[in-house]
Amino acid sequence: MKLPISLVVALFAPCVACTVRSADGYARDTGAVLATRKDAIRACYDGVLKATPEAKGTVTVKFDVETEGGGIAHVAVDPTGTTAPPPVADCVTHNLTGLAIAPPDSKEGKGTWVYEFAATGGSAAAPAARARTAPKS
Amino acid sequence: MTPFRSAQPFTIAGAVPPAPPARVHLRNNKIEFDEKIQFEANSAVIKDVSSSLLHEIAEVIRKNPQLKKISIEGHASSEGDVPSGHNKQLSDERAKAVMTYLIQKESIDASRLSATGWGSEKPIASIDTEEGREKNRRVEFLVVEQDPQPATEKTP
Repeated sequence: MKLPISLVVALFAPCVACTVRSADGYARDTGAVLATRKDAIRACYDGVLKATPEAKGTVTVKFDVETEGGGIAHVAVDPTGTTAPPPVADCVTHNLTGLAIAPPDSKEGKGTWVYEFAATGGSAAAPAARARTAPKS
Repeated sequence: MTPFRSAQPFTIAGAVPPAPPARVHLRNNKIEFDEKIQFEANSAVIKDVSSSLLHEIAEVIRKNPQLKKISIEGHASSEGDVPSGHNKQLSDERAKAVMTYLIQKESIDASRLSATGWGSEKPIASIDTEEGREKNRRVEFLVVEQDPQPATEKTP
């Protein structure tokens, strides 16, 4: 039986150069990618602090890691693990778009990530809020 | 599907910008500030740009409850006083506009405020130069009554 080339590509492309990660491996590789946006998130947070010097707390986000391309998608704030005000949470969600792990994994990832925001200087200096444990996916 | 989570939270340390220096001070029985309260030309309508300054003035009044009576005094230059008395009337209207703003927008107790316009009767600088005339156009806040207890300067 002869299959069209396009169908063959469609069937096998997701797994080309794919790997299978453990949960720890997924967390390690994804964490490395997320870390590349920490400076941008910090800059965004500094902007929030100009208007709201007392803004601080924890932001928990949930997201998927797609098997095709390894893209981080469907980033959403988990309200049960979030104490920071919405503008701070937006700093996280807006800065995680467009990221991807390499190589992609053959299994979809369901990530939960926690950010702790704390401010120094001015009159709002305060110790970092303790991160709340995010529920498992 | 592989669920995973951060082993440790990412810590993001932001920097709160330093507070700007206070523009309004209580000194020598006056509420002093270097900037001017700005009005529309030939009008007692306060420009929006002066809202933050008026807010800081209100903060000083709020934080100093020993100030029982404050006189808001409007002054004009001698320029353009046509018809005669126009500048005095305008300075009076401007002083009253400031008082109304503080009462209505900043919730300052009306019993603590009064407003008067002096026109060009009390210049503080030369009336012969534009620089002097500009200094003479002003709104002042004078403390005319306060509690006998020692007042400590409090600024925002």
